[in-house]
Amino acid sequence: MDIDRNEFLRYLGWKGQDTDEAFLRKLDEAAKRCLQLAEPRSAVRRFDLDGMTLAGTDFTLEGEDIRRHLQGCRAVYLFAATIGIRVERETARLTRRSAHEALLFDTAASCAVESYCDDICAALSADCGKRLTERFSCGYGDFPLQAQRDICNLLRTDARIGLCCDESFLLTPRKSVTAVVGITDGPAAPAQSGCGHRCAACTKTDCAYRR
Amino acid sequence: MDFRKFMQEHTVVFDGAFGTMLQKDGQPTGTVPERLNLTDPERIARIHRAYAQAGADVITANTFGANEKKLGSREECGRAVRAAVAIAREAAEGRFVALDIGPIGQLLEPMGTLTFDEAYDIFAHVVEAGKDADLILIETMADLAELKAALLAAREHSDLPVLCSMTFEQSGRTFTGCAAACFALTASPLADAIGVNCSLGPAQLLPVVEEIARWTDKPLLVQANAGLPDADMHYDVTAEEFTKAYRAFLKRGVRIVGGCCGTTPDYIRGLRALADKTKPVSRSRRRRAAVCSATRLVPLDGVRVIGERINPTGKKAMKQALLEENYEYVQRQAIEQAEAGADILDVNAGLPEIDERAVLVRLVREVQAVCDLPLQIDCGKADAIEAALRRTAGKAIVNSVNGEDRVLDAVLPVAAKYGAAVVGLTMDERGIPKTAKERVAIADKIVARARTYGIPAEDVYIDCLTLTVSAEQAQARETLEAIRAVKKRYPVKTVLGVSNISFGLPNRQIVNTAFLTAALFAGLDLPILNPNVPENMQAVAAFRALSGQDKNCAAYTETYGNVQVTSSVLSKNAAPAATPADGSDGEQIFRCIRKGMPEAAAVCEKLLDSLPPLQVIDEYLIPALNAVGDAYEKGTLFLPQLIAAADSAKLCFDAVKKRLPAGGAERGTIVLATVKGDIHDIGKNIVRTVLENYGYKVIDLGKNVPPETVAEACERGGVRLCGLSALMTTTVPAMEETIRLLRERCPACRVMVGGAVLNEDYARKIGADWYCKDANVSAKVAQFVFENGAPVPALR
Repeated sequence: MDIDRNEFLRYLGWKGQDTDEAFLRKLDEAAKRCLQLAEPRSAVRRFDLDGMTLAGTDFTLEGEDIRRHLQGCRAVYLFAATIGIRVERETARLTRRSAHEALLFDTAASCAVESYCDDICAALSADCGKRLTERFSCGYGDFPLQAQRDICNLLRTDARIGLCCDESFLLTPRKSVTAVVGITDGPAAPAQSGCGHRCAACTKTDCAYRR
Repeated sequence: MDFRKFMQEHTVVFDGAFGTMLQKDGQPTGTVPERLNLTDPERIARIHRAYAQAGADVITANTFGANEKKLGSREECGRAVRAAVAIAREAAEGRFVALDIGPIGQLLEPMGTLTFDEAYDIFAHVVEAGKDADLILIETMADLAELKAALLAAREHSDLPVLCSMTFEQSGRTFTGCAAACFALTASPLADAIGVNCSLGPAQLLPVVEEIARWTDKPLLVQANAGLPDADMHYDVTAEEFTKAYRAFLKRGVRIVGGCCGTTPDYIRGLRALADKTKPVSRSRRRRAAVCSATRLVPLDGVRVIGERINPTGKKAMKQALLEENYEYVQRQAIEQAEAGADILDVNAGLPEIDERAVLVRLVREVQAVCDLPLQIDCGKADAIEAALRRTAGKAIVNSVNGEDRVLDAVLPVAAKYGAAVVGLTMDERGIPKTAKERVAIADKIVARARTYGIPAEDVYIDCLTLTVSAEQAQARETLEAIRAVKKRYPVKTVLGVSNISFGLPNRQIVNTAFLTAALFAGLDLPILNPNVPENMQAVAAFRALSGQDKNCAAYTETYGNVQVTSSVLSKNAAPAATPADGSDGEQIFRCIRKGMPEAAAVCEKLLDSLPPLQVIDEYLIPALNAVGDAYEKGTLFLPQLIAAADSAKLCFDAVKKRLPAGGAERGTIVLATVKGDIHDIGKNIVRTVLENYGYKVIDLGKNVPPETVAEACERGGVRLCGLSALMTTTVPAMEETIRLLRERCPACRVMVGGAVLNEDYARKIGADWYCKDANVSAKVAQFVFENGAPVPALR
């Protein structure tokens, strides 16, 4: 898990504006503090696919987009990851000190959890020797946010990694991710980060990160 | 036989894992096991019988996840719990039956959306539905606040014995950061036995159990996992190894044993045999004074500073903040004191104009949200104290009782129930005695009475009271003498507010520092003071060095090794030194704000020396912010730069406000909230910062705010503009509901909305007036609403 400066800047909405040394130093400080406080934990389980149902469970992956995403996959990893509650507490504290510091820290935490997910996927791919699809999370396309509850239940994330799904189907602690990753038949390839940035093929045209 | 009695005489053996057994029985993963109580009771009974035959003394009913949040409704939950207890009762064949209570599965405030009261209510319902059990087991808890809600619900809705355990990682903390010692201090007064379960195997749990044992007299409970699971959820400790590892627990006086994930009847058979051949060991420990929050233990083994700032008495700004419900100010005070070195924070809501109980509860909640220091509940009313103690995640201090029977008998039972420490003032209905001897006599009475309520001497903190030296000169000595005498007589701690000593004298700090030092040498453990005054902390640091508490003067050297300490006059409000060298003041302030430099404040002060405050706002600050906003819109600046500029403009506004009568700089009042069900408030916080720095008064209601609260705040203040935020599609309905209620109750209030999933169409659909894609737009809307700014076309 690390926080790449360019990625950090991109999350902050940077599009090539001038930045100075002092600002970059603040970025680095926020990143360092975030990595110090992060408590990364994850829960992963492999399931065979029975159609779009996870074998041995009552959980069916709903939506056209995920069906397309998992085309050709006969098994998936279900995974959940969080960088913990200490980071949340620090954000709350910084919010009372300075909006600027809070923004930088909160964004650093977003980068950290994504990077942590990249690490997990790379390890899983190495483990099974297969290429994995990109992570597909609840709320992407027509894959309902409500599935977040089922994923948390299946992985028992509350007991295992302290990750809960609230009444609005949002995750707490906030800096957390749940996702479905398809296991393809292809050999393991170098890991990709995030959505893979195939922006031209993506239907989410209002994405802040569209290139 | 009564379980409490049984527990005193035997080593109690609980059963083992339930989920593991269900899986072995072919139950698909992900189903809610508690539903089986209704649909397949025989399957449940089979597992119970297997454990009963293995020799368990207690059969745990299949109710771990039976709460209304997990099962969908209160009725369903009640049915599942009643059925589970009945199944267990029958299968147990005369053994004890435990009602099992696990976490609700949702995080409590402030990190989640569930309130303490909601959690309490959910647990209370489970407790009542499970009243036919013989005991209650609350287990696998990770959040101390949730555990406390469950313990109180169990205590207050049943007379059954209550056992509780939390789940710790190898670090000795739970997922939410609760430390083992903090758990022990907080849970012990409310439970019949405490301990650990789940997460780790027995060997890894041993150090955690040893730490808990240092902080409790209650019987200890251990239900370990069968080691750690591999990817296929197979556990790595065999039944034999498991039993062997438990020997170490029994040797250390653990009296209640059982198994968690991965254990089976084989493991329980092993524990049965072990328990039968091991004579129960009784524990002894050295009692130590300490207080704690959920995450921070503060042992009172040296001087500990109690920060006094969160108290409206004699503090204008705090008083105003409490009256206006400006808890942000309170939170800043908490953070500042923590950074200045306070160990404990006093919270006081003693204002005649406010509902002390309600505000005290709110103070506890808001301070705990941003600060991990233990609290001192500063209040004399038993009901308000109790309300605050319930919601304190940790062991607090109650300030205070005195020698009056009426007060002692009202407050001590409350402190005892929650295991709080208590401050005893050495005065009574006759007032403050003139001599040290008489004060010691009152201390005698307080210590003795506390003991009758079960409060040990180390939890009594005696306050020998400071009087004003300019009025009653001989009293300073009497106070010091009383401290010495009390310390000689009892293993109690002493507490003292020092600054009263100098009332009426010039340059009071000189006298305060001297008196503080003298009191520390007399035996003062807990000075109540303002930690933001450097001289106070310097005196404490010096005392720690001189008394040997600070070994090798290491902390002193660390703090004061690389600074030059000057006179107090220049201490905390000293202006930033650097001022940009070139350009007019106007250009400078413009540049400082644009670059987000804190030096903007100094330049602003200079401008204020020659211009009226309002002119500085209109001609310098607002144009600078507008320019920054335009640059942001054009893309020459990006978000962090916009926010940095807003932060530095805020410093300027603070400088301007100081020169204006209260409220004189306000350009309009705006209510902001992140809607009910949503805790994603970073965007809303950015909007707040920007609006405040345009000079608007922002009433920030926070996150997860119910529609009624928003409507009420807008209605009460006759507010003309309200901003709402929501992150996801699932929380937008709450936004729609809030807007509907606002239209009904405050038709004159206009509404702007923002958040990740919103856009103009969506915002229009839910009835908002404006969609703000960023904070900058919200400022434009505000300027339009309040000051004839450029029109921002409303939706629809």
